[in-house]
Amino acid sequence: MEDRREFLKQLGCVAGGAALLAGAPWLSSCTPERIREISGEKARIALIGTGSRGQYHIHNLLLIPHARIVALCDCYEPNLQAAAALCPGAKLYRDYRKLLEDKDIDGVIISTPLGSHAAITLDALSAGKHVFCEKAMARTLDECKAVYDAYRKSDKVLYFCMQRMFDEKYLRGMKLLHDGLIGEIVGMRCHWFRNADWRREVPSPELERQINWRLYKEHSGGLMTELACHQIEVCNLAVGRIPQSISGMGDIVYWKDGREVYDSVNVIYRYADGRKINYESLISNKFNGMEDQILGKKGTMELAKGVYYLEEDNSRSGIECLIDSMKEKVLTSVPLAGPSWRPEVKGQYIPHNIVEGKISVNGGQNMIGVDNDGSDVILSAFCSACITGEKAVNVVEEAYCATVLCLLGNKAMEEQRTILFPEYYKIPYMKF
Amino acid sequence: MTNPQFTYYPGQVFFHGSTGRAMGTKFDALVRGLSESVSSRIWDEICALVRGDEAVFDRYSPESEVFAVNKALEAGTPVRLSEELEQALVQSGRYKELTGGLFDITRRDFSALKLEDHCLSCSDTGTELDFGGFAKGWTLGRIVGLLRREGVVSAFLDFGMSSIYAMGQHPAGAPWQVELRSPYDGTLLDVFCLQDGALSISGNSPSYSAHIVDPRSGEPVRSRRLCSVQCADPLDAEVLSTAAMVCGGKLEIDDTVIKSYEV
Repeated sequence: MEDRREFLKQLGCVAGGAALLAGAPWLSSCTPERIREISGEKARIALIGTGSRGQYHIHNLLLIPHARIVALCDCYEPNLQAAAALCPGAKLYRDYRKLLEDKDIDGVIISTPLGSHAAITLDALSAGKHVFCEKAMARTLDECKAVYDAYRKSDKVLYFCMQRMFDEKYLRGMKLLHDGLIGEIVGMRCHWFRNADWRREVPSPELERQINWRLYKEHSGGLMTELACHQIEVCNLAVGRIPQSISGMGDIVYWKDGREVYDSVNVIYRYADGRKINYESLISNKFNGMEDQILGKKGTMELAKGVYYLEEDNSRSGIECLIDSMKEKVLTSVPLAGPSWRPEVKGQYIPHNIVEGKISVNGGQNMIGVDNDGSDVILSAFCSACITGEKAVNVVEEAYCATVLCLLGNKAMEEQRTILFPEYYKIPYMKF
Repeated sequence: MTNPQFTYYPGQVFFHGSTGRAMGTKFDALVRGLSESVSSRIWDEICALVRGDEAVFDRYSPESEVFAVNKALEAGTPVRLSEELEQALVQSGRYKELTGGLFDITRRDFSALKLEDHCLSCSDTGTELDFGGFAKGWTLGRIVGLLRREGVVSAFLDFGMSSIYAMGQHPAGAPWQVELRSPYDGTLLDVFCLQDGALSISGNSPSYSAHIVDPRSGEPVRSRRLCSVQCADPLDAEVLSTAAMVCGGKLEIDDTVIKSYEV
């Protein structure tokens, strides 16, 4: 948690922090000022869905001073008991509706299969709870619209776990992009590759669809809603626009094991001005890992790695610095020593760090979550908002846009045609 | 070796030679105090020396001697060694003794090799020679020897940032200074002052990790660590930095400064 604290301390406290906050107003619930305001108070949090992702959130919640876990709910007993062991004293529920009747709960965290996000979110808002739900927003376009409309009418806080919006390297990278570091953005390439079947062990055959819900369309939008959702959102933030048309191809190439969702997707999102997101995901080869790559006229940014490259790079290598110092006869220490230099694959491009100091890089292989990817920060912001009632600026809107685009990606692949963004699902936040 | 480059700086009387790709990395030389014609000749000799050593030690190149030797060992056939490879093999055996088995060019059991009458054979057909943690230091030592024979007193030699030799002083009249930075986040880890001495760095980086193998277990070293070795001889530095990585930096050798950095 150290990295997160350091990052948050800077928000509003130093020049760069204030500028960062101005460009990412959704961070306001986790500024040092806000955390000081709620000092000593604790949000009473309940978790609905206590499987691997729910337990990941529990580990983060236990480190958040302004959060207290008061209740847990899961319809699968082993997951409920595993979570209970982490949270002694929390009330246990098997039916989330019963949990929502509990007046001693301020906010709920929903980590259930995608197919149930909308129903639980709507019920929780109706019950007067603040809500933090895993991404994607919902399984269908109409569910997304229903959740968005309900949120607009509600006075409750709603978050979706769009953690890249709270990840320091993405935030600082976005600031550099908007400041023009790599010039005009001309395109985007995102990919997420794994080499695993996405399956979990099933103790009894009747539990197959419940446990391996990601593989079945009733519960899951497959790679698009589980993986692409984060990446499409990053692209939209980078260009400040929403794609106008979507086309793509999806197939089950390798994992022909009865699953219904694609294991290989290629989707192109086209903005009105012709810029495109080229999205690719495959789960039978992990060579390329995961990356969100923003292509500019003057450079390229790889946000997942936290680095950028310039087309014309005037920075000096160590040996060039040494030559300069020999010419000037001025002794300077030069950055020359290190583990062996390897030939760069991509010509002469030199990687520059978006963030100085240690950063956490997600290689994209972990199905549950990784440390310091923004998930802990967004959770802290939600818990803070449960106390203050402060709504999250743009988080629901970004989740809505990204989820709808992912669902439209699936629709384009299934119907094998180019889809124009439907008027019915447009919201005022969207700029095309 | 690809695209060697040579630049002479007449005002400051030094040359910069760069090999492009060589021995899995690149080599840069900054050599002071020679005329342009002598500099050019010496740079050509350095390039020839590097090419020659690549032809001996590059185990991935089907044209190299080590490649041929490994094929012969795999087939269980004794193979005659060149004078240079024989010397390197004998020397690497001494390093195995010096490091208590932390350094082993076979990466498993050097004692399975048998050298007799310039011929090498092996009792274990799975054994291969890998001079990865040896050859750059060996070649660097030969280049230092070449420059000394030419009367050079000030030079900076750099094999891919990880194997450095500094001869004499920087033009500013002080030892050469180099920084070691973390390959993960650029944090400054150390500053070294070098004068007539070698520096070698071994370690893992985001783009190149688990490439050092512990010969005692056969397992790659995966720790996020760098080890630096500063001493008089570039081959000693090269070998000992690899050995230091294998034992987590806990290595002590006389007249040698060994440091370990968690990164």
